[in-house]
Amino acid sequence: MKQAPRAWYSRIEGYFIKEGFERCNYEPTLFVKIEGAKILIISLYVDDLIFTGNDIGICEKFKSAMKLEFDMSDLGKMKYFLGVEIQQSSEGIHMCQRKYAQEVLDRFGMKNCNSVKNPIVPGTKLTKECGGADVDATLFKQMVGSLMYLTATRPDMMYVVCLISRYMAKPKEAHMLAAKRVLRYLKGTIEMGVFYKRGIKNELLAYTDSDYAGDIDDRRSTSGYAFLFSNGAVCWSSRKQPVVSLSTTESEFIAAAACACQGIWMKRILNQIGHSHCKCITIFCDKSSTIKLFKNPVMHGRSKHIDVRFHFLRDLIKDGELELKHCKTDEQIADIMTKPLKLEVVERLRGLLGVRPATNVN
Amino acid sequence: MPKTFWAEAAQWTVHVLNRSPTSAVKGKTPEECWSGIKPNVEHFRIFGCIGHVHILDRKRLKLDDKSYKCVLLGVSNESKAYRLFDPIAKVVVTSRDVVFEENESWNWGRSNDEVKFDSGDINHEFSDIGETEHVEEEQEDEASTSSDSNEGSESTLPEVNNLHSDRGRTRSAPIWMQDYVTREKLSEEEDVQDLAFFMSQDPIYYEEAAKSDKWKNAMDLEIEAIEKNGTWELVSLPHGAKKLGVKWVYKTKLNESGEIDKYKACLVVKGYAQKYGVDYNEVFAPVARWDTIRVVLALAAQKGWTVFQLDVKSAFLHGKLNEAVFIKQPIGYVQEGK
Repeated sequence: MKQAPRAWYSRIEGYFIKEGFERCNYEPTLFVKIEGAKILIISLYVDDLIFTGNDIGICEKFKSAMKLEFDMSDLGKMKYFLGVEIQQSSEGIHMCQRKYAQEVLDRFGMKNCNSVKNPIVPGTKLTKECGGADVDATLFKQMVGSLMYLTATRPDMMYVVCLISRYMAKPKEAHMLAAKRVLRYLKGTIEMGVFYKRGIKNELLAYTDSDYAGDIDDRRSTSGYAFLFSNGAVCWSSRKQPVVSLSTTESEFIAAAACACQGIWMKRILNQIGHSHCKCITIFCDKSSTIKLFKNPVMHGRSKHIDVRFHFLRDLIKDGELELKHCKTDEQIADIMTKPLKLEVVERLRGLLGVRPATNVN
Repeated sequence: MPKTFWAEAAQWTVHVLNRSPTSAVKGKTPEECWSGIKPNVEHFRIFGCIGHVHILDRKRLKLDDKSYKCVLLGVSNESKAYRLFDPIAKVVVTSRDVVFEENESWNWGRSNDEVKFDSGDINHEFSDIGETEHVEEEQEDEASTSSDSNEGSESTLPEVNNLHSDRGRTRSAPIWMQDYVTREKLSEEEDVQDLAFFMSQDPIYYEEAAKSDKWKNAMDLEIEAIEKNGTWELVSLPHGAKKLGVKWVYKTKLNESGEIDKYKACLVVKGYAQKYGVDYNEVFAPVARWDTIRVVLALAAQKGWTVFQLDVKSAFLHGKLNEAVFIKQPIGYVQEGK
């Protein structure tokens, strides 16, 4: 029935609130219960729920209470959730989509393909009209859709998948080749996934980057960002900007604004789930003129049209919500979200994002 | 022309009409409307006119005729060629190399009777391809003598073929085709195996599932869960209310290593029949963002916590509806007295 999920949500939400949980204001599926020093965090995904806490007792109590109230099946330690395999060890937590990736390769007949090391040939420029005949749009869309789901644990594939997804309306042979190359890359890196290291005390770090007029068809830029926490990427994005920017500074600016929006949301979530000493997010940007534009409120001819985003970011910096810092281009992790890179850069940045094979964990 | 060519004439007429302008579609011919391609009408010739069919050089000697006379019947369905009737050999031939005399026609009067008798066994001959095919055209007036005349006509055939067509060529499949299995060679059993390969194992219909115990158990479990939750009660349908259909959905659930986890049967309401405002008002699904899940995981890793997972059985049955919804009884579990 169409209203069934909604009815279920109001039922379980009512139950959680009765039990003393607090619903997160910024994410309706996140519930937190704090009893003195004990904390219990629940994330709900329709009928699957994952929970964690700093005390085994409170977890067990919650589990048995839930079993009484609802008809539950206890799956124990989180191992397999929404097609993602999760390994919890004393080293940390690793998540990957090996099984799903294998299914994707089987489905598109790439089971025995030769693997490649780089998801995209460096310097590739795709356009709407670039070479070759039309290909089966349905097949192409299926490929993009499957790859999209894989980006849930694969930040290193984010840029390529977003790039090819722009051509879903009328795919040509060149686009199909790019998609197949991603599948071949996937074949070689099927065990890879994000790894969060145990016991690392670090703050939320954000990297933002953009290319300039990367799309040849409409000359819009791509903004990308990546958030790092516990030595692994928790949140990443690569997306074409909604407006055309006139300078590299401006396109970096737009990317920084998008990153800031996400950053504030992340900070609020982290504060809500008991990581309250997260006060100021540091955003790294490799363009010094963008940073200078914040620090010196000069309004000159070239920047006066970046009005809204400008004030938004300036206010955030003034309030101390975030901080913009410069970093060198070769330390810029978000580079991998915005442009096709050379092999050694891909491998280095991939490591910095916390993407590693599952077997290396133990 | 004798009336035996009535069908040919009708076919040619349709062919021409489809490629002629009509008032039904403005500025287009029916053919263009259908296929989107403007038809070519260069090949149009007068029906029944004389055509001189070219005889291939290797099939004749130096002093033989270069062509033989035929009557145009139309165009071939199989290839880009004309269909003609050879009134002397009494066969239908297909050829591309034809020179027409559009103002001439065959003098049927002379051989009208003969044609009438023999045209029941018009043989199709493809002089281009070199294959011979025998097609007995059905004819009402021939029905009484069909069996004998068919055999008789076949015995006369080789002579006809030797005249114009190349019988020396035998066709064999190309070498690259040897790796392929074509449908003709498959036995019925293999066909079924092939089909099974593409189908998922889960049944689609109740009748199918009811045969096996595992699905029966799964359905019993589902009904039990529904009854336990007090999801429904048996009522008679109020006047004016509409009831929604239900169906069973079967799914084999796999675990992370691809082994069979459990067999699951779901009783679902055919929700597509629901109307906004009548059967439901607001919809929402509590779906967590990936970002949130990853933040929780990262935090758990940092603090050294263990993450657990729970799964609610038949979650949607726990919800309370504000609207009254009437459903049909599920197949297999119908209780008496609606």
